[in-house]
Amino acid sequence: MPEGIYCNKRPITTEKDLKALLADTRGTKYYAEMLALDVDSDLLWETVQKTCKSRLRTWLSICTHCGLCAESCFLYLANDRDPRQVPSYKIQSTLGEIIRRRGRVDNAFMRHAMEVAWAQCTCCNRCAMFCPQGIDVGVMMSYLRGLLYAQGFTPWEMKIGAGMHRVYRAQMDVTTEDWCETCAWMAEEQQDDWPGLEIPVDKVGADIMYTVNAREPKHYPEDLADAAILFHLAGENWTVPSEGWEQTSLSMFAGDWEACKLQVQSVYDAIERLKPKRVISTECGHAHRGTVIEGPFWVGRADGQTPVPYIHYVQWVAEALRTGKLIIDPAKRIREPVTFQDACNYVRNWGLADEVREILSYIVEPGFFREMTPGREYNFCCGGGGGFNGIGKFRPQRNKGMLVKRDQIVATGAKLVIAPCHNCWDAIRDLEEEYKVGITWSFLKPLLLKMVLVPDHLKPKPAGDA
Amino acid sequence: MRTGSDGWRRTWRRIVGGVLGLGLVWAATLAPAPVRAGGSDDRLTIDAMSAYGPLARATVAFPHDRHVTALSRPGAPDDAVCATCHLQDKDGNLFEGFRRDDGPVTGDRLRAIFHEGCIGCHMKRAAAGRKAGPGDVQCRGCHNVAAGGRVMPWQPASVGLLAFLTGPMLWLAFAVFFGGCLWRVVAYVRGLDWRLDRVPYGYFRSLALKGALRSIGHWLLPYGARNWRLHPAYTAAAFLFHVGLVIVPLFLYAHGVILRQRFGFAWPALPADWADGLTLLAVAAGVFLLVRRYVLPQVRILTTPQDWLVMALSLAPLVTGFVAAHQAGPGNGWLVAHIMTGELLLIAIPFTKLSHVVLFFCSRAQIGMDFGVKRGGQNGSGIVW
Repeated sequence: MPEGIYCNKRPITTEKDLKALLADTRGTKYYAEMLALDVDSDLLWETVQKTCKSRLRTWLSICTHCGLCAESCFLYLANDRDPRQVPSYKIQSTLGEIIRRRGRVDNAFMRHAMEVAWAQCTCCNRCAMFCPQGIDVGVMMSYLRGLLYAQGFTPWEMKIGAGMHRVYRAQMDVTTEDWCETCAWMAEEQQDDWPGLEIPVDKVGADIMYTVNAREPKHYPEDLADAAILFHLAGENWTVPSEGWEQTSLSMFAGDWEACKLQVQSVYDAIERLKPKRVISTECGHAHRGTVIEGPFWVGRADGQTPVPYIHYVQWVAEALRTGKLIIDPAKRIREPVTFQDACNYVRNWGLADEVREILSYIVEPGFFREMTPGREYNFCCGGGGGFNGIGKFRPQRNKGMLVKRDQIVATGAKLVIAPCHNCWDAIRDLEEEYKVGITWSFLKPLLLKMVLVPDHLKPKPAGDA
Repeated sequence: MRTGSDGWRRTWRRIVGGVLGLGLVWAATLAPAPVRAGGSDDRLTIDAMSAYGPLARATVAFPHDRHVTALSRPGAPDDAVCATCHLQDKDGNLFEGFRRDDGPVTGDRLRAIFHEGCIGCHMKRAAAGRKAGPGDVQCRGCHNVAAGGRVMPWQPASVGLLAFLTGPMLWLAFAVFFGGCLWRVVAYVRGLDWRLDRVPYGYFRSLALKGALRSIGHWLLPYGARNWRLHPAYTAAAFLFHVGLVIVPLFLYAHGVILRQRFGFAWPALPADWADGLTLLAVAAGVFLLVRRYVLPQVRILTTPQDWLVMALSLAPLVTGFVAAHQAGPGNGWLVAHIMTGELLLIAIPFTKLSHVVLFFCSRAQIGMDFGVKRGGQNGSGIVW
């Protein structure tokens, strides 16, 4: 069957198609159609020849089959050292095979490759640090996802997610109207506690433009309020755009490169309209990866730089604490054993291991911070990145993979896990639900709000004053 | 599971395997020719090097009269023949030693006098089509006194074969090696694409250079990278294996003799027992790697026929070379096998995973630039290896 109604090679580009696919609960019909989906071998091989060049080809051919990547991968460790989970094996048996067979692969192969690409790798790039030849299997897996997506062999939620970005320029169906209303609503709600609090929309020339994850307005609008309060406390001149406000990239997880470009362009367009001095990401890892680290290349910027400096929330918090824009009440610092989840996308892949620990030095009472082992750039994936958290079909594999993170957390003896990343946060929440190890977890914002000193002029006036 | 890319590489493997097998079988059948009976007792034992320390090679039983006969020409005075090898003092008296006077001479200088003098002359004569003594690859042709003083008969092995293997075939092997490696590097660089790779090639050059060098440096040093440290035994084996494979061929004295003969220069050589030791360690390390490849499931699953072939091809020159240098018997089979497997290895390098000889540096530089510029190099802690 060349194309199904739900499962086909066409990306979702309209709200109607998006709703139709969403209505297919858990993708039942979608996956049923996938069993009969044709592979367009000519297209596959043509794409490989055009887009798989030196870097990837060389990686595949100079791999010396030493097996040193095995123990670098949390999925290998979590799955009882199953040899089929060795990163080199995973990529050689999928992408390597596609190339060796010049695209002449069948439906069963592609469905298996889909499972490898989305359930046996989160693209955390940890293996890149452990390969003597410098081979990054995570990068190759992401490339493989692109090939599979173009052929229609992608998980249901990934097709929906990419469709969301194409239709709404956000990972969820939050329109500009929804977004602006939510901003207004959150600002209004806080007036009693924070008189004068604003969430300025479309202010031109501000110092800071702030971009978020669509889950925040949709499911956790308090996060927006928290961000606003912290900027308010720090005295920042900031704004959010009415369009181009969302910076995540389920399209990156899906391998829909065109949607990635459209999504990133919408944010950069906002930067161009509002001309902020710099932009700040919310507490999300892959959002930063998609918009700031990979993004510039998708929109044609060869130097890899965003139009203006674009930092991660963690960098702003470290700066605010360092410069005294936010002052912590030492009496309210964290006094229980606490650990930190080093998000792959801004620690391993952006170098913020030190900044994070700088923040912890302000907010944790000395002696209470417990590093995970391994930590910093060597820390393991939370278990849920790369879209893993969201794919129902692969939930059992995700839950198995989380055992490594669970054991790391338990070994620290920490009661609280700080996880300034939406995927890590979700994974650790699910880890607790599944394995009940007795932990709590948090973003930075709620923690900061509990312990930050409020300048008098920002405190609410007692009732009755003029 | 197969790796190794396209169909032509499978075909190549079969060809190489076949040639290698045939070559080894044939070399081993190069039985020693019957010893020519009836030499004279004319044998001067040359062991002048023993004044400088333990001998690395057997002493030389030098047939003086044979040389005199070979160098004589009708009508030429005797003096002229002697002067070919013996220097004269101001009174015309001959010094006893070969091409030197009675003055002090260093061990290295003396060794050079013998090798360049004897071998050089042999090779000039052979090039002129005349019968000549051992050439630059036939150590045991001259170093031929076995334990107990017995002189091993010299087997001149098919001069044609050795001339081919150490002549045109050697040139071909090196041409394929150097040309092939150069092609791989050039093709690699030309295939890099900032859009596809999403790496800012050409920007932030000093950060990029720093990232590339750190990436290469950490992994070129034993235990310099975290994953080297996490696998101490493997790392020891991998480095010993590579050090032997690279250092011994480059710095073996016997190879230097060849270089000096062909090109007029060579670089300092390893002491003989160092060369022996490194060779044995490399072979032992290679065996360890082979066993590991079979025993560990995470390595076995990755293994393809090319891995076994490449290891055999890498170990063969080390093993055959060691035996050829140390064997007691007079046959040249091991020497021929050594040269053939060495040449096969050189030819294989650009076309197999052995291309990591050059591509390791390319790939590591690239990932070093990636992390060093794009993925953290511009921020605090940058990337760690």
